[in-house]
Amino acid sequence: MSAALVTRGLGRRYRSTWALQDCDLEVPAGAVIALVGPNGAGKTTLLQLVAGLQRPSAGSISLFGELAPAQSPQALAQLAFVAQDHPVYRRFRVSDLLHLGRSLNRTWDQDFAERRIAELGISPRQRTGRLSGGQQAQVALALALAKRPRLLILDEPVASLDPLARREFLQVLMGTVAGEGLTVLLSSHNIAELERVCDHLVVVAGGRVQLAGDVDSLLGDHRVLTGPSAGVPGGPGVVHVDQADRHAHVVARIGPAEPLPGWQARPIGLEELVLAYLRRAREPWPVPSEMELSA
Amino acid sequence: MIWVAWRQHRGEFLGAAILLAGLGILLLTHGVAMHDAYDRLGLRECHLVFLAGTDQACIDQVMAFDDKYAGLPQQFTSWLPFLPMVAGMLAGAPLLAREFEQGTWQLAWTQGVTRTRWLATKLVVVLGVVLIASVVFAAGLSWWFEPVDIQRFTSGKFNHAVLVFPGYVLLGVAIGVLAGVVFRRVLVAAAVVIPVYLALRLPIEFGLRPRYREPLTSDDPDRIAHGWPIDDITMGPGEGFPPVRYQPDDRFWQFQLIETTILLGITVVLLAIAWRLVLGRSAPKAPPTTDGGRAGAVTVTA
Repeated sequence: MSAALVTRGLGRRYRSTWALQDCDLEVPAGAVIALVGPNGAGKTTLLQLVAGLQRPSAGSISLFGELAPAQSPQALAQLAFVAQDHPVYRRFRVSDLLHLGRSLNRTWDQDFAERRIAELGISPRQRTGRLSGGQQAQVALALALAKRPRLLILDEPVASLDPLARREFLQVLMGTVAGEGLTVLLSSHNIAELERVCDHLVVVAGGRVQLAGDVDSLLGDHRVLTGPSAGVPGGPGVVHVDQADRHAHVVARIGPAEPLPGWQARPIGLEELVLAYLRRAREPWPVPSEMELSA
Repeated sequence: MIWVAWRQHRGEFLGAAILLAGLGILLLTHGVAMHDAYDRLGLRECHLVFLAGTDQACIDQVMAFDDKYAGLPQQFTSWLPFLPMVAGMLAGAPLLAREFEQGTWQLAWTQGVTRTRWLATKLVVVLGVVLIASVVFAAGLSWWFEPVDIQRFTSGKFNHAVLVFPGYVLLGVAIGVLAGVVFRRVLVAAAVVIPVYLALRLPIEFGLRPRYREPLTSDDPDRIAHGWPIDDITMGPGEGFPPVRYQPDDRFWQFQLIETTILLGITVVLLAIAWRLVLGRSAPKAPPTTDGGRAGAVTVTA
């Protein structure tokens, strides 16, 4: 499987603070990648860097095997971006937005766009400013997909939507993505709603990538260990320790290995895994080894 | 991209067209009547005599004409200098600020055209429309003001000639564009246009304009009155006309050119700064997210 997106030492600095630093990612083509982290973690910065909306202060980005400097026409032709709150020109009619897409892109699937709008039950004459949040998100998605991108980037696509609209949006997204080999990179601060749709995970906190990889193998590698709080193990595999009075819960990357005597191991859930890495990022305990950031 | 830029600003263009059409109708109906009376009464010759101050019949006629017709144009000359500022607030400030404010820059910059082409097209379309409209409007104003005063250097005529007026309009729009890039909020940018416009215009109009060339000195009242007297004219009883410094009438277009060059120079500088800020290395930082309440915590339940 070839890589859709590779970043090497990618970083972005605003004056003296790094919003994102030392970001090495490798994302296979056709993957659906969830970028998870708290607000202000650097998710938007990473997505905007990949989309060419910002220039990196350090490092490089490659798309589908070729270096992609910000705003290069080749990169622009390959990606589509739906920003947070899915902004569209509010005074445009829906048909005007499609006209915009048609006139600004070399590849443009007008039939697809019109069909999507019709399926959504939205009139092309409708002004986008009058659409509901969910409809606006759907229109923005249709606009992005009609560009026929190879990489679709969505920044918090469902954060502002009500639960029903969230569901519908993700359904449409996955339905479209499934057949087409499209690579999707989407961010959220809510892992639960992405759990059903993503097959890769990137956890970002404090401007750094904390964990990255294939969801299944990440879940397979990690265990929750429960044992006496007196004998908490240290070592490279320990991600986070949650110490209660008598028992300690330890999230550890131990693979299929047997736990220490006196300790019980159980499989970990995706939320639990993400939380463990975010907690570790906030209060490093114990000092962990370099993480394997293979994708 | 031209279509997109046009579609984005269609609303402003339409509003401006309605405003200008309204003013145009007022100006035409008043102006036609005024020009008619001017020609019918033969005031052109009278005006010339009037300046020499000899023919009482002529003086009365000119006074009567001014009473009847000059009021409206003179009122206009007091607020028209603010029109370029309004253009800056309504057409310049939103040009980029609205894209940043509503987040649509992210939509625009991830389509297939580069940021450079996007920005160039937007500027050319908006500035082009503004330029054409202001030249046409200035031509109308020049025609309208023609009978009001024999002096071309009076501020009404000078400010609204077809060179200087569009110059100020472009300057106003450029101020708005740059303010929009710097402040990224339409209302803030529009508010900033006011002091900046005045801070640039007042020194140029009242400080520089009389000094573009060394004034001449003359004691010929006719020459002075056709031109632009720089000194106050004080004449005691029985004294002859004193020698007075003035800018002669035939320097009118030269002064227009000089002032327009200055205005366009500033306009280009402002736009170049805006251009660099948008395309340069300092790409915009993401606007602060609105869901600050959840900052720092990851939601792990649906």
